[in-house]
Amino acid sequence: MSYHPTELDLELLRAGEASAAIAQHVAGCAECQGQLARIGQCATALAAPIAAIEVPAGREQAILSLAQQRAAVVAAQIERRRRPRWLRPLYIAAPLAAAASIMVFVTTVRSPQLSQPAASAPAAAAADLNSDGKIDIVDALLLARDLKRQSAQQPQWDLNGDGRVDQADIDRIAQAAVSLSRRQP
Amino acid sequence: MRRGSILARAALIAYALALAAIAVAEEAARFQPIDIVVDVGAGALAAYQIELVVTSGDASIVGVEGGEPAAFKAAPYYDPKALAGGRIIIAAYSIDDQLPSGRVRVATLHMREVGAAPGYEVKLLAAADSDGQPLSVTVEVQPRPVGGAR
Repeated sequence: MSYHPTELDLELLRAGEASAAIAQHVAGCAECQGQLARIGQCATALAAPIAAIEVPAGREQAILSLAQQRAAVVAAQIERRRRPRWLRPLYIAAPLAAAASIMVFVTTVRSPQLSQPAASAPAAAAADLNSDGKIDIVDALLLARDLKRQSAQQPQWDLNGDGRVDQADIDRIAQAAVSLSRRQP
Repeated sequence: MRRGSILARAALIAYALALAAIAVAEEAARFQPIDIVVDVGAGALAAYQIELVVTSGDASIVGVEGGEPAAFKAAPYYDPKALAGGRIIIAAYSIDDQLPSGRVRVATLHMREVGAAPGYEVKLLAAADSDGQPLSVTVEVQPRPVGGAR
């Protein structure tokens, strides 16, 4: 494969669920072996029970003191602005409304094609349909075109291994193409 | 009980700090849509892949929207990790019979900007016709006047 596996690929490998191509790559790549070891250490650490946290009384007082100082600064800023009293509830409502708007915006505008779980990078050889040495949206286009034409499909295009070549495989290529975590060879 | 009280106070403190931060920043921050426009010339655009990077200033990506022609109306593919960051790769394809040519707004990115106008760099990573053949196109970003027509 042309690219290093993603962290998800490495986690799948650790769980014994990665493809043979990924296993083969990691076996010959010291960098990926190191990353795999770090993921293993992280998983071990996270599996350990988290001890109960008790905040010391002195620390609690220090936090409250800092909060009071900060609140005084905020109150002074608000006073300087001299806004009408009837607008003050907006100081509470506006940030909440803004946060809610951003959440709604992000969840509605984002692509429905990405509502599926994040896919790992497909095996480069199979996903590089035009054999130009890189996986990009053109590969997704070519697979989509062949699906539309119902052309003879290659078994290796079943990139998610669900036994059929369909839109999910196209999405897998496209998601790999736009992934920010993909490292170039 | 004691732990619950501490947690409640901590939540109030966090809320107060968030309010303070918003109050300080509310006049400086703004939301700016920027259009991604490609010029295909006489060719018919079936697929594109574009990278945008914030090169200067304070700006982050908060939303991704599809383009103008029906073939690229849906939001493009992107990595959700790009949201709230300054770099994104967007890509889309179409197998429609009607593909756009000429100047095409293929997508709009919604940015949160603070302070002076930030710099953006856009790079074409791929563009192809319906046969997957490379197209010679140019790409540019166009900040949209806020409140302007879509």
